[in-house]
Amino acid sequence: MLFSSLSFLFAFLPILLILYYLAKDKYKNYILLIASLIFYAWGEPKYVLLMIISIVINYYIAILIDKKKKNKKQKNVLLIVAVIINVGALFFFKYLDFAINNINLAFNFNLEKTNLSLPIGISFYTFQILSYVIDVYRNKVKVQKNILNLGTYITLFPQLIAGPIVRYSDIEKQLTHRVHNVEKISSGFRRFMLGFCKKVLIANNVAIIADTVFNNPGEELLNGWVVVFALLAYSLQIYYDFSGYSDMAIGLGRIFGFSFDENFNYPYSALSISDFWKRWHISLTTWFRDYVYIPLGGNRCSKIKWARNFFVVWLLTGLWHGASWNYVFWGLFYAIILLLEKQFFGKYLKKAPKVISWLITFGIINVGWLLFRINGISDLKIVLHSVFHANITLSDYLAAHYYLIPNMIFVVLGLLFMFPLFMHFVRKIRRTSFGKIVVDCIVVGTFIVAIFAIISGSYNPFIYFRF
Amino acid sequence: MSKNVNFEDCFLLMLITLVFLFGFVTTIKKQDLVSKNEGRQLATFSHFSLDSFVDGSFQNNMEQALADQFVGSEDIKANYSYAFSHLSLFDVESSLCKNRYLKLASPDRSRAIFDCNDYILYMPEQLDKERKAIIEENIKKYNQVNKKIDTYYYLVDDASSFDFASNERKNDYLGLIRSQLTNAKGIRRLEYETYEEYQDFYYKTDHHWNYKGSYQGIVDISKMMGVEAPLHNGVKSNNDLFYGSNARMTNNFDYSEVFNYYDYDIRQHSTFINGKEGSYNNYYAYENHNYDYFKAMNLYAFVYGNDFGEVVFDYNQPKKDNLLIISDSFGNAINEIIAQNYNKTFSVDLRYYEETFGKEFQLSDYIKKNHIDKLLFIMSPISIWSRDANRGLES
Repeated sequence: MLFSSLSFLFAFLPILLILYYLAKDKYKNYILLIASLIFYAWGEPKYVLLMIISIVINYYIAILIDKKKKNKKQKNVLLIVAVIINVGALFFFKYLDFAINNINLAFNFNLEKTNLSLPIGISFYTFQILSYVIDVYRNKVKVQKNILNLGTYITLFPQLIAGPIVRYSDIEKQLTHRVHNVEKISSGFRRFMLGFCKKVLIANNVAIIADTVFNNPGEELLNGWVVVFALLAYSLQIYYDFSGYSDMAIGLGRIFGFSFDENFNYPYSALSISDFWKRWHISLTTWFRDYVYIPLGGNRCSKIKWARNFFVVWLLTGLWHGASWNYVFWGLFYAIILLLEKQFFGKYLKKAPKVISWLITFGIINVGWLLFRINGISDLKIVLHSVFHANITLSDYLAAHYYLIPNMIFVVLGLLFMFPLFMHFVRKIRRTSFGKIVVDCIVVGTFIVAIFAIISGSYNPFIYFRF
Repeated sequence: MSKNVNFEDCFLLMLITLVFLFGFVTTIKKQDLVSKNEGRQLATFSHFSLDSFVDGSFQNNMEQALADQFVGSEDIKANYSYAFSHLSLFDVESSLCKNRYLKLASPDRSRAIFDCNDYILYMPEQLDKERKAIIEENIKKYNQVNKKIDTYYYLVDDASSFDFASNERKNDYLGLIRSQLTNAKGIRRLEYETYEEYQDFYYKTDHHWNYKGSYQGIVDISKMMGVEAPLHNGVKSNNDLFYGSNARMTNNFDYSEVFNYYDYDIRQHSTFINGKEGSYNNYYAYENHNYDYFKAMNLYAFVYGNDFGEVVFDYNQPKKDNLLIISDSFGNAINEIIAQNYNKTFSVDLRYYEETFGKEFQLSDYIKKNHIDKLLFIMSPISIWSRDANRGLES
């Protein structure tokens, strides 16, 4: 189920809220667990079993690790087993076909692909499970002896399918003791509505521009500016889509008494690439830092080892986003850029006027998104060729895509809202009671418009109709 | 739960509760079955079953039903899309439209505004190899079956065949049909060579021909078949604004026109729709205002008659021929008028025949059974290359 669906808004959420707040505290987690399983099963009825099996296996492995606290060898074996099971499941569902495809290509084999659909959110919940087991292994958290509480953590629907990757250590206490109050619920709703509007109004609308150009670049007579604009639209799409989802998750977490860490912090206002990665998908970058980069030795080692660690982390970051070579290239692109920034041009970025640093950073990020978005090298060639060999005027292109012009307004809005200035202004208005009410009315009004957008998405006229 | 609450937070929660209440009302209110604006059956809430949940159809249906049954859904869809398409702060249209197609959003075929005009029309579409092969295949099968009967073909070429920007015909359907249909006694098309001529024959926002275009069709067909063209008594109108299929498909209700039609003296006859006696056209009801007008009303279908698998017009003139017309919806406006020159006219729309009668149309059997003397095709480009609109002609 998606947060930006009517089923979620007008069926799942209201029913759950009523049941949750009517229930006694000791039953709240059970209600959340059942609701989360229904939420997951709504989109993936078959794979809900996979998740339950995963919870049970990891529950027992963590208990065994805790029992074998003093036996390092056995503890290590158990951890390796847990990593193999979790990463193995992720590999099987997400990367096996990619591997088969490449083996077939490289060795001229004819191995059959599994063609399995990817269980929704598997990358997110695998990392959450791993963080729990590893933290139990490291004695950072107490082992969870109540399987239902562990199940609630892993399946917790707000962050189940698109993050943020919430670590067990962050909500360990909240699983048994969390605060519910009107202020938290209303601030949760505010955040949820903000994310909902980001996703439905901005991301969905700018996506149409990006998709028109990038889905079939060969069929489009492109103009260089059009490609640049579409790339900008895609950069905004991915940001508002993902950060919108994180906002909704954080907001829903608050509504149900949880506090999740921030996942985005105005990443497109970054003045360097390392700054960008401190602001973008924070839960993933910190996960890789704590569970891969530092265990590999981090930067406290020789330069060659450090570079190796760096490349490993960014290769995995790329692969985490998808089983395709363009994600690998995207990850390696950032590894190279970050290495160059740290070693060479970082100091110049710092000294340069902020506008210049921002332009360079934002430009590099956009090039990165081009690698991320494009479907294969051949499409990349077509797009790049179009940038430098315009064969259609901009006005001809706009006329042929006249229906996209209203969507372009959302690119402008997206650009405006990607800087902290707008929220700073909102915070200023919210200092008074009247200001708070005005802002809330605007937020609810925009939320209603976003609901209308979803309803209008079902407009599907029939050409001949009989009355 | 803490008891420290402030007014602003309660106010927000109250607003959200109101929003959720709309969802609640949606589930308990009486369900609407048909959308007038969209002209389709609306999704309704279905009962839960494990099978439907596992295959995802329950979830999909629920999402669609919530959208369709939401309180005020019809107005929300119409107004949101209207507001959305008028978001541009600048007059972009006038700066781009000169001698150009401005492509509009549409869920099926490409539609556009051309040359700053208030027409919504199909964009030029090149006949691709696949479609050409279907046409050839359709006609080849027909040629094999039917070698004896006098056959006439009337092509109602729509805007997709012509590029008004370059004033060039994109597709020579007529040439293609002529080259393939070997036993035809007459093949013609509704001729237009400029945008102005197109405008004369077609509605501003509908893909069908208007009263002038359809009358031209009657004249052309009568000439081609060697009969006298029926006359009309002039234009009539109830001054209803007509927003046609192209307006509905693009959800663009900026343009419209007054719906006009020619008044014909149609002689007494019997009509059988899908085997049952009835009345095909609604001229009388329309003239007497016996209808509830609504913006997206399909006046073309209401006034002239709708799409049916089979309509028989029996003018009881045993000395004259029996005619079979195989047509799409373009025939709706003229079949009954053309039929006046024949004894019995059997009008068949192959898109609906099988669905209506539960069996495939078989041309040779149909000709034998109904003593058909002449066969007339009235087809628009989409029907020429559609397999549905030609199904059964090979047998």
